[in-house]
Amino acid sequence: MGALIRWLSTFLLAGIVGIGSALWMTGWTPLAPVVGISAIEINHWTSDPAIGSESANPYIRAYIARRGLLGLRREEATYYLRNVDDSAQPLREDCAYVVEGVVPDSRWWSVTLYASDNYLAQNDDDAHSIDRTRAVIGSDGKWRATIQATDPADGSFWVSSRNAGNFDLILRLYNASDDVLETPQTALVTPDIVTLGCRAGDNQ
Amino acid sequence: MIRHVIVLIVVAIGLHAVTVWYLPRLAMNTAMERMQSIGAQPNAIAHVPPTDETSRRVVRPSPDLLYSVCLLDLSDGPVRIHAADWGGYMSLSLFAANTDNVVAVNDEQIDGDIGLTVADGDGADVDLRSARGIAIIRRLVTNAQTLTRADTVRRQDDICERVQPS
Repeated sequence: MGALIRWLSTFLLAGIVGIGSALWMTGWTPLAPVVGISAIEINHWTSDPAIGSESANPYIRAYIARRGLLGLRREEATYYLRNVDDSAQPLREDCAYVVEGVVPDSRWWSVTLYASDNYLAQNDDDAHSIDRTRAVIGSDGKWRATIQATDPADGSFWVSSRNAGNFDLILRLYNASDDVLETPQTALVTPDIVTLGCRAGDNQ
Repeated sequence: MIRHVIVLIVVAIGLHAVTVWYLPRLAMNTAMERMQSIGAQPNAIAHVPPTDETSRRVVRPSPDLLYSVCLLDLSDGPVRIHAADWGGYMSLSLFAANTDNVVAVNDEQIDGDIGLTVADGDGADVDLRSARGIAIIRRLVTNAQTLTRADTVRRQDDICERVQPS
């Protein structure tokens, strides 16, 4: 009887360790994962050329399946993720930001806000993203958008963070140029995210 | 005691590897089941409503893209997918059961409509290397006019169907 219990305990512990470590490492638990899309990092924006690719290692494939299922291979689209402002503070619904950048060398681009559950924030503001077709390019060659929970009503392009909690942004580049694909560190200037302020009483 | 430790390590490593292998397939199965719950059928085109905050079948949908999908079941032979040209950005992409994006073709690479046949093995334009998968047609729609036009075209002319043996 004692031997049976020892073997059962061994297999139970093996299951917990084996399956639990797999879920944790690939980002399928609330804990910070071991892997991530960080092969490329430009100004706090991270990406991985293996997204969607048959050459992706099993850990990256499992990670992407959880957080970016059905992402396209990089020849069609590349994805950059960012979840902090220019001061490396987490992006939060309680704060207001300006995201600004130059036009990337791609057929189409967009910046979309996602809540921490990996879906669009649950609000009906119809202001989840800014993209190439709607961005206004200023005299300095940059486009800008205000990210906050309420419409700034100041004429700026608004991306709503209402009900987003802690959120992140995805920069999509469709049909990016060869230079952007091959040497993104030099060919791609990613957008800045400047914090305008946070609600009184909230810690930034 | 040593035997228990060795067994624990070997079994844990095996379960770890199997779990990492299985998770992408689980995600694909879950996505396909969610699509079927809204009426999508294998080897038939399904037009997903415009993306908004209620779109919660697949993570991180783009609110600027209009999606049409086909749940691929290649166990009985090849399937043909036809994406109708509508004058704007469009791509047809095929995903294997392990989430790999096996192929993606856009409107600048093809003159007019995009058409592909896909099989699990030889005998078609694309070998998906799995019996199940997902085909997705994306169209860029960032205002009401383009949305209306793209939606009309896709409902008229997009096709996903089994290739009938000749």
